[in-house]
Amino acid sequence: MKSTNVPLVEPQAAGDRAEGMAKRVWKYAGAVLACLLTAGIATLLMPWVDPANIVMLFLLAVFLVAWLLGRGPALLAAFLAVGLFDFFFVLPHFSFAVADVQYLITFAVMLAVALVTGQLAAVARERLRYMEMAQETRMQAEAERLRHSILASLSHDLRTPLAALVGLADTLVLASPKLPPPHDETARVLRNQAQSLAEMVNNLLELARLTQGRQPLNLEWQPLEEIVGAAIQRLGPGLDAHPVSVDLDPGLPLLEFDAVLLERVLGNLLDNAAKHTPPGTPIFVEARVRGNVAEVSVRDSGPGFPPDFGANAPAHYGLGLSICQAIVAAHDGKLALENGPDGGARASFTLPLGAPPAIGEEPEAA
Amino acid sequence: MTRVLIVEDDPQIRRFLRLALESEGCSVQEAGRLDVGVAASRLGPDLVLLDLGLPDGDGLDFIGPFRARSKAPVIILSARGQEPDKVAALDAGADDYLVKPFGMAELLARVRAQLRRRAGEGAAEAPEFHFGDVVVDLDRRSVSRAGDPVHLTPIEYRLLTFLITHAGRVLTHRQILREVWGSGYGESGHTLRVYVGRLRHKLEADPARPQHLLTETGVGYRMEI
Repeated sequence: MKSTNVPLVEPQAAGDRAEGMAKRVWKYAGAVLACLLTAGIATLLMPWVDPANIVMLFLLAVFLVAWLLGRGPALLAAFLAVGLFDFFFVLPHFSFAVADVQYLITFAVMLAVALVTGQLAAVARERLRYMEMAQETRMQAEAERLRHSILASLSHDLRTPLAALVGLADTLVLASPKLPPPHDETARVLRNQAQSLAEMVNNLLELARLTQGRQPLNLEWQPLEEIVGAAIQRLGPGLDAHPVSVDLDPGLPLLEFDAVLLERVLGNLLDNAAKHTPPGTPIFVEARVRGNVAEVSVRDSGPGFPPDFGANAPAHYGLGLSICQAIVAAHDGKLALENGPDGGARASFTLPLGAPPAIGEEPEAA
Repeated sequence: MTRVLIVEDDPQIRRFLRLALESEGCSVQEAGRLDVGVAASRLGPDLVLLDLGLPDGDGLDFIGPFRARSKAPVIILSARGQEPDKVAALDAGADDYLVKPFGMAELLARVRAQLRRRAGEGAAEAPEFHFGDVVVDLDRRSVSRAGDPVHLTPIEYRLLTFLITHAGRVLTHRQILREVWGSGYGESGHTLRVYVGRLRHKLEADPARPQHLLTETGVGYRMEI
């Protein structure tokens, strides 16, 4: 059993408890102090005011204690108020003896009123605090929901006109009869620019969603090979000018990742390599096990990253790499960008190996 | 003439779809709302392009009732990051999806593929399928590649036949697991992925860059013949 060595009270909890105790002692001391203060003021006022009004002063003190310090201190203050009133302000003075029996009724009513108002004030205060807390959680949930719905509607509102723009520009490019050369060229540029704008918006929205930190990963155990193929397939014509060679360690186990997001990482890295190297430059996708991680790399033999390209460069190198970094970090991995010994850029990321589940094998009978 | 129903709330996207489809010789009917789309679907279109986020409801609600009446292909128009919605739409009976933004060539290729698939469906099932240098003979339960026989386990064979008899359709992980492994395997997505990987190694020229057993990331698979 794991729990045998755990102390019954965690040090942190013990500290909290001691702090709570000290706070409570101060509250009761406050109640005592308030009653003594009231007695002092009443003593000063005694020549001019009736005992009935001194009772009022004490009741006010109990009420304030209840409001400010809570239920327990109010209870103490109620009894203390009756005691002090009797001791100092009822004949004979400086004695708990009572000359006029009528005062017993005063005491009883005073105590009852003090207890009830104290109780009511404390309850009202607790309820108010509870309402404030509820209000606060509600506002947090509301803000969360609002952020989510703003992002969703922003995503719809930005993507819809872009989708129309890309499509309509494409109908011009593919129009028959073909547009005269200058217009045809313009239509092509329109389509391509709209396309890359759409891609940028996609990246931006994805980054916003990722950095909100509340997008749950859709983690599943799967072969890396599948998303490598999917990423290459999705880039399609974008990779036509570059021979891509894939070399994945056949001993690579299943890895646990969000397929859609990791395909984005591979796609962005491949796209970067294709865009920043001259046509014909080969691109290599490789994966190996290194210690307790799998390392996946995309490298090329192009000009490499610029010399002033620091370790924190992704942020300055465009949205694509920032997203890669955010996605890899969400998978407890690391993204590294470097230039190879023989030049060329190399982007690599790691994924923890973990313990993949068993495959549902079939009995070997054909 | 092929009749296409477009259910999409954005008028400019509808305009693009209409222009593209009419250039292909289709007759086009447009609906900007779900209820209008449902009403128009009773006229029996040959193909439906369906946006999921409509002002008066979820496009998902269109699919079930439509499927009950018609076998016409339904292609979903979706955005990136909406994989769960795509899966739900495909599970409900949609056949394929396009991710916005898409160009004319992509749109027409998908539309043609679906219409072709639909047209071939009525014919008696061909006992033999060819893709790449692979021949699958359903009658003799044999698979060969470049003339040499390929040994497949029973599950691999079942998986392959399910995929090729539904070629051109996106099949979700759940649909494949239910069909090939039975209902008890609903959660074993990793097992399915491993088996698809094995099939690729046996049948694809470059398993890391498959040409036929294609991955629809986050959704499922599509067999391209």
